[in-house]
Amino acid sequence: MGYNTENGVFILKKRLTGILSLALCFCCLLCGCAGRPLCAYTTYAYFDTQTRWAYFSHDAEKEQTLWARITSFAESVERSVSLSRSDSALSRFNAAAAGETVEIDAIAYDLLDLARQAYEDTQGAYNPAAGIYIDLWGFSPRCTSVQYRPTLPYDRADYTSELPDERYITLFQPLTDFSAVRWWEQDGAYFARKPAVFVEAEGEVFTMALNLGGIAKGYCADACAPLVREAGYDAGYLAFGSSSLALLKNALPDAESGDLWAVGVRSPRESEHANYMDVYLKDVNLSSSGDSELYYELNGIRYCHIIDPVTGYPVNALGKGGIVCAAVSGLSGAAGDAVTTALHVMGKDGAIDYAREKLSECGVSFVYDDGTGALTLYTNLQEGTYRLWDQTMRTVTF
Amino acid sequence: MGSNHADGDVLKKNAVKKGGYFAVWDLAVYVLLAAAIVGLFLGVWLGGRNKAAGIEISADGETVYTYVFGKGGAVAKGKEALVSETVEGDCVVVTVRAQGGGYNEIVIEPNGKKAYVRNADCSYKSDCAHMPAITAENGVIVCVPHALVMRALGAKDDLKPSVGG
Repeated sequence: MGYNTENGVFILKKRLTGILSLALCFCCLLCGCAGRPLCAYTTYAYFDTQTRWAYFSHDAEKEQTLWARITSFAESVERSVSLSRSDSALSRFNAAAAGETVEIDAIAYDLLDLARQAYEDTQGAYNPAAGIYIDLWGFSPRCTSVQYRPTLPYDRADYTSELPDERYITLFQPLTDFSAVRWWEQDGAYFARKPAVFVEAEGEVFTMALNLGGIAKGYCADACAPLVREAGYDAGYLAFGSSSLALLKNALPDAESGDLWAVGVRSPRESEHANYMDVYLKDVNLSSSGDSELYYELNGIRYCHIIDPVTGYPVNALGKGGIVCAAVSGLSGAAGDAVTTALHVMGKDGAIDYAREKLSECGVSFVYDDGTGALTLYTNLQEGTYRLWDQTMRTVTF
Repeated sequence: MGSNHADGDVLKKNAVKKGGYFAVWDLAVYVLLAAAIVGLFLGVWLGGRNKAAGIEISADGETVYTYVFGKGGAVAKGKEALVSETVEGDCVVVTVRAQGGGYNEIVIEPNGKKAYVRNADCSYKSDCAHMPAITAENGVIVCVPHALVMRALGAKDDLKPSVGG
């Protein structure tokens, strides 16, 4: 064959051109492999927080229709159980007299069923009848509204600088027996009857007040996730507020382990990390609850919206620490919402026992403050299924 | 056939011999190919790293104020009654009045390329005033009672799912 300079250069040119052309084709392929972008519809019109559907677009018209169905359902749930609306079924129930029967709707009926299941499963640690205490401590929509004016005997001009009169904490205890509420369906209509219990103070009569806001967002996630799946969207997620996520698959090119989402769990306290951990999940609900969602601090103690229905005080209000945030995956959205609230009430040891007994198939994580500000993560998640960003946080696996 | 193939090669070799080992056009082709490769690579790599050009404030779904880093701020046409802008040292303070009453006071730091809500009368807790500052990369601050949304202008919306907070 022989080799000479001209032959070599000719061959070099051919090979060089060939190599560069291959490289160009590879780069073109890379562009194509960037994948479909993640799109999202977002609104702040429901539950005083964000509602989002994140999806990988393939039919804009279909997506618009689906979003309309999602927001329509969210609107229905709001109309049924929002305490910001005086004409909602729940507001009318709360305003009714002791022993009175009120007509409700199918959504309120469903939510009451789900609430009772959670109430029984958690032995009362989740209690929707703690609504009177939520109002007493200033966390109800009535109290957090910019139009708030003190009208009830226990109202304060400024909730953040004055604690409620302890007499009311004791007085309202009989109004928190959720097992005394009755509801039924009759000839296609739905009804609920208030317990015939009332207390009087300062000339005012107080009866039971229910608050189903704790599970309403998870309920929306449970109803809307099947809608998007049936329409052919098996990747993306639905978020109702910061407490209820329905995760599908992750089709982004940088997805964890193929198609998992790296879900951020926000730090419960000031930290250099916005999220204290990421959890790797897909095709599952994730619920969370924490004392940073709604709270005020007075004399160094944090008073949050999660009320211990037995004591009538916000959890951790003794200043001795406790669970400050909890996240659970693997339950329905509504059940997860209820359980994450209940874990705070159960306390560290109760939460671990409950998780071992009833949540062994679920992913459970909670952060515990020992009263000094030192935070410890308690979790049953396996290594490799999460990543801890906050290295100052000790980790205990149970 | 074999002879034609060999003749073609000889012709090409002679052309190379005649035109020099690397003719100008050869080099031009190589440079173009290399530029295309680099350009495509950078396009994909940098495409996902949009940096914000400023801050956008919207109320009730409509933009009311925009601040472009390096250029300054502008109140949206027709929104002059709702928005006022003042300068405090190195910062720009924008006050947005809500349609139903109330206000949000927003501080924009052009040097640090960030913005945050300093004060608001939306609720007794003013959650928006405690949200992390928006940086040049990303971030959204929302004041639900006043239907006010602040976001980094031009930055990619952060769609990473998260819970808590």
